[in-house]
Amino acid sequence: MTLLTIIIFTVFVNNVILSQFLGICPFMGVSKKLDSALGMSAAVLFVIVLSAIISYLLQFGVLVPLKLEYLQTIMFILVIAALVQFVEMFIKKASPALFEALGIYLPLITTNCAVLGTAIMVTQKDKIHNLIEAVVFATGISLGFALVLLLFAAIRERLDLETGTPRPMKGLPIALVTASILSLAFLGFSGMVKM
Amino acid sequence: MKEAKYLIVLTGVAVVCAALLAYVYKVTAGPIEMSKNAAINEGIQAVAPEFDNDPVSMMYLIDGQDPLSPVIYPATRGGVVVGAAVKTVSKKGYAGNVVVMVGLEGAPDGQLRVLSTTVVDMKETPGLGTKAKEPGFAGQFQQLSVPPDGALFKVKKDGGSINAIAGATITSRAFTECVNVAVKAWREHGAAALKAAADPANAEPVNSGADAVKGGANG
Amino acid sequence: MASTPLIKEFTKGLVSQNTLLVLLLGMCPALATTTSLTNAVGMGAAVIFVATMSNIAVSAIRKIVPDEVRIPIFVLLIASFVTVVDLSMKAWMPGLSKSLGLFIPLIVVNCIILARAEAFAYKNGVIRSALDGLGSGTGYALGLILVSFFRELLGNGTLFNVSVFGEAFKNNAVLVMILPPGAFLTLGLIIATINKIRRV
Repeated sequence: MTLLTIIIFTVFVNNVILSQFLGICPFMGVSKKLDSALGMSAAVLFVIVLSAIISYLLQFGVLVPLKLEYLQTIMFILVIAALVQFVEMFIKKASPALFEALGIYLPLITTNCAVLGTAIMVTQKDKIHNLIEAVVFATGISLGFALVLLLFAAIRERLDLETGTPRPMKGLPIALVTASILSLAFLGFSGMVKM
Repeated sequence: MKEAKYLIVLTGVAVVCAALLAYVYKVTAGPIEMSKNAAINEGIQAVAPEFDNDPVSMMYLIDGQDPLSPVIYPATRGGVVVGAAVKTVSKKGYAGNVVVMVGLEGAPDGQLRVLSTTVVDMKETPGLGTKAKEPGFAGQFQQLSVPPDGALFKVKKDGGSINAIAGATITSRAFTECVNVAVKAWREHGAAALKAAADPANAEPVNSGADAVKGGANG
Repeated sequence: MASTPLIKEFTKGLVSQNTLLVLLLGMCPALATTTSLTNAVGMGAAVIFVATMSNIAVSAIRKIVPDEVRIPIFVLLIASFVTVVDLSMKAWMPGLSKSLGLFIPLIVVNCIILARAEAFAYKNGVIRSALDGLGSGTGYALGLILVSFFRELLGNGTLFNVSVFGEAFKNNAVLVMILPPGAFLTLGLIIATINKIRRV
């Protein structure tokens, strides 16, 4: 099973948002505009890949040898929280404009299911066999997240201008129905590669 | 010093949490271990011919290095071999591995019959591939005589006699492959498995049971 | 605040401020664990436990937790209770644990729990906080049950795995409902209906 298979699997076949339902809250929140979607995707990519690496090393270097696997949830979420703090400080210094644009969504990456979800998934030995695969897997997840976020931002910029949407459907419901159609489309990838 | 107060509170809470979790871990460790084996045990009970031994303790891995290797659980009654439950994995499922526990009746070198099958794990499409669990498909393997000439079971599309599930040929093929691999495993390695069970001290080194169980439970 | 009757702390989370359908929090599990009513009830119960216990814990130690380190403390406590649920389910409800999979540990990042700890439990007494947690958790569970009711009924023809429309329907059910697109669709339409009812 090659690294390419992992990428195709995580981006298309088992897309993190449309198949696995991880990262829905930021997906709904940030996908309204193309540029904040881009910024968010970059930040998420950084956090997911780094936390996947640290989690992998933590799991197999510390938790398993010391038989402390039950502390996985606690340790992983603390690592992620710390990582997001660092990313926040870094972005604030490197690009204050981006920092402003992302606003509240930056610290919210901590509660993004996709980050903790990926960290847990890379520790499942029957799917991921080494650190390289873990990194590729995490990258694939982030790319899948970015792909759907950008696709959606493009659609939503139109949707919000649309005056034909009934009032109860405006905002989240129509976004969910749109996601449903996108998800249906992505179902077509199922079976393409296996992991 | 404010920092000291932060540290004290943080450490205090951390210690209390760690203690709570260590306690819960101890209390749940036993049942967790048991439930891991329960799934395998139920599978064996469901498919193997009537036995009075402990198949799990006589478990034999064909290839200790391969987590997808077939696993033989010999079944004996009154000391005589009556058959085995064999857990096999097919990588050719549509959406992932298909893990089937195949119940075989008969000694490795004698007349064989597939008694029954049960799916241990699969990730196939709900409503399509998952029909493999239902009697409409799996029933074809109940009480099925194994051809003595070593011919394999095949779906009709491939020239055999097994009716594939409409719209789920790939899953059907994978399931059939599991049955074939199980028969082959029992035929070729059954004797070695029985020998190993009878004489564990001189047996070939086998991976610890936990990996095999985990490998099965996670597909 | 002090004049709010105790029972209100519980009921406010059920309908008027329903965590899932009004506050729109915690959508990930609402899509993933609602393929069947059994899963939804199991998940709901887990969330109720964590929400209530962490509210109690945060409220109990609120006076000694300095403002600056409160978030890490909340996370520590919530993660601990989530681990308790995770281990307990693996031990005594392994089938459910396997069905719910990742989403049990993911309760720790479920926005409602942290939100209630921060917004309420940190500033109120233990009894009120317990009721608040119980209410928001139960409201969430009710939301999950509502979504899974439609998904399981239409997608599998069953309720709690008991056939309702007969075998013929079961073999030809609206499969898409228990697949991902059905999840988004059901949740979206339910929220739209709630919006209409609330005249939003």
